[in-house]
Amino acid sequence: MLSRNLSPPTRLRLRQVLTAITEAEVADELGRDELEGVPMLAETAEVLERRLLGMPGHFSAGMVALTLLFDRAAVLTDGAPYRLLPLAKRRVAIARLRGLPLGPLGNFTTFFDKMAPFIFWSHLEETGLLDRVLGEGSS
Amino acid sequence: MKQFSSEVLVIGSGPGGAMTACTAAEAGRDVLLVEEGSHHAVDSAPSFSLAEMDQKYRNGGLNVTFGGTSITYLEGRCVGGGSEINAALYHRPLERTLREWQAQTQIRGFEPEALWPHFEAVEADCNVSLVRGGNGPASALLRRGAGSMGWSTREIARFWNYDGDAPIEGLSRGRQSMTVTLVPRALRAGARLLPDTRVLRLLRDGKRVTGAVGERTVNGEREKVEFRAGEVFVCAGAVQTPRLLRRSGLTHNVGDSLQLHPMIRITARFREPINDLRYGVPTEQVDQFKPELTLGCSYSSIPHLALWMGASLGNKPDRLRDWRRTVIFYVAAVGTGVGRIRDLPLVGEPLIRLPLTSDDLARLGEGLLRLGQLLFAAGAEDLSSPVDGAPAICDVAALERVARALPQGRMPVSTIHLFSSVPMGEDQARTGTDSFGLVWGCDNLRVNDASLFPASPAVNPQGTVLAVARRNVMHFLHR
Repeated sequence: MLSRNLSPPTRLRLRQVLTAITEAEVADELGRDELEGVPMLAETAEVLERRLLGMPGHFSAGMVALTLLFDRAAVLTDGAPYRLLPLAKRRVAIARLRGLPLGPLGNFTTFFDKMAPFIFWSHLEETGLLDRVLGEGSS
Repeated sequence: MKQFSSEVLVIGSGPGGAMTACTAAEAGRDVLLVEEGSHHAVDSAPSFSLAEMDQKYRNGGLNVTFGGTSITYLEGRCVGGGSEINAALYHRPLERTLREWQAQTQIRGFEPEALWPHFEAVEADCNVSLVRGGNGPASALLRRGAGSMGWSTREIARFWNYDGDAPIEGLSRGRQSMTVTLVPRALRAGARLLPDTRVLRLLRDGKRVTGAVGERTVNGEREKVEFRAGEVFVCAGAVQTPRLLRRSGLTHNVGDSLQLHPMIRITARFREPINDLRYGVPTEQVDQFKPELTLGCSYSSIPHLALWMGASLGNKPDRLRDWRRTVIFYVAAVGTGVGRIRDLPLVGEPLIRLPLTSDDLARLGEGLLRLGQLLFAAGAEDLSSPVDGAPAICDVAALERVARALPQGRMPVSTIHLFSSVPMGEDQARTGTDSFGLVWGCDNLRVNDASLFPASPAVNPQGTVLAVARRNVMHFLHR
């Protein structure tokens, strides 16, 4: 498992970036730029991290490297690491990524676009909180 | 190092391994059944949930092939293997398919009339049955749409016990997976089961395999284990079986011919409620375009709808609020790409190179077009696009544009049907085993899972895996 080989500071940084990505993906899902009162964000990021680190080693290593690189690259494009950007800017940065050419970046964006919403809605379903996000009578 | 000995060692407890272990144990053989994953009850987690993916899927369901388009493939990694996590749909393959296989690799004793009794036994062993009192609103809609196009559909039987009130009491309770059927039977007949144990390498002495070495996890601690056995069956599935053989130095036509059924999914929203989760996976399929194409419905809970709606469909919360009016549909094709399975040096992970060919794209596009036509004919308001980032499809003209130009790399393609990685038959230039799974160059090592198929069964493979495994192990017992 790759997780055994990440240093504690790198693991912490990874968690911060994944939390930032999770919030942007969920904000996209809900179509809004604020997430006040939206439950299960930390839990979603935690499972997302587990999934990322649980992939076959070579994929996992590549995805971790791309995630950390994505965080750093935002310094050039947006003036700060991705994890420190305001939510609206993070949504824009993710949307920009979706428009880039294929290859490893395609897998990178697809992973977050698919897994973050799936995990988020799964948590809401399993904890009976769908109504809180979608409104009464949704579940 | 912990040591185990047995007359028959079966590696892998999915349908192929469970059938092998059960049949051999009931014939009085001393059987040890080894499984890499853990042993969970069939209803230990809700079907198709995150918890189930953590418990029972290899790598949480995140395995991908390399090629122009990465294909996500799912493998069970638990006692019972894929039977614990799939849709439990049962098919007999077409007679034509079996005859083609027989001719393709010169399989002895593979006439359909010799195989049908094995299918009949599987149908009885695993409670293959139809839903009582109708198979639900999504299936009815598929039937109605196909009917208006003049196409045929069929309710597919499942490995399921429909006891209790209709339609289905709980999503996983009736599932007749291997942990409910053949594994308990094997244990009652005296077989031993060793879960949480990964076989790393087979031990060989000339043409004989004398056993295997591996590691077992007990209370979170790993311990080395060694197996001694007179006969060895490798039944670890189409990806893991060739990996183990190759790690053990057996490479002749091993892992060079993997095939699969690529699948794409879309969501469709209707005016009336059609999504009833109590039915699990709706069991109706469009027959009209088989064997090349299968069209059907998937389990459509809110998380799964969110997954397949994609990132660009507008008003997603509104759409999810309307989940009862929306269902996931799929196009599954007989793939034409052939893949190679190798272990990456040092990291020990599989690397699968398998192209999604232009023929595959054209076939999936044709399937998407047919499916969309059917859904609009059945009253769909709109469809999500299978292409990442593409807008909703609101009419047949837009559907045609998307279906005629499916792109490489920008479309999630997945599969749970993998096979043909160690094909069987007498044509040694094309096969890895003889007509009954005996690995070429070995006296006592057999493969008995979907790896043996010379080509696609063109239907859900579990029924064929079970029947062919039964045939092969009975041949072994009576040899």
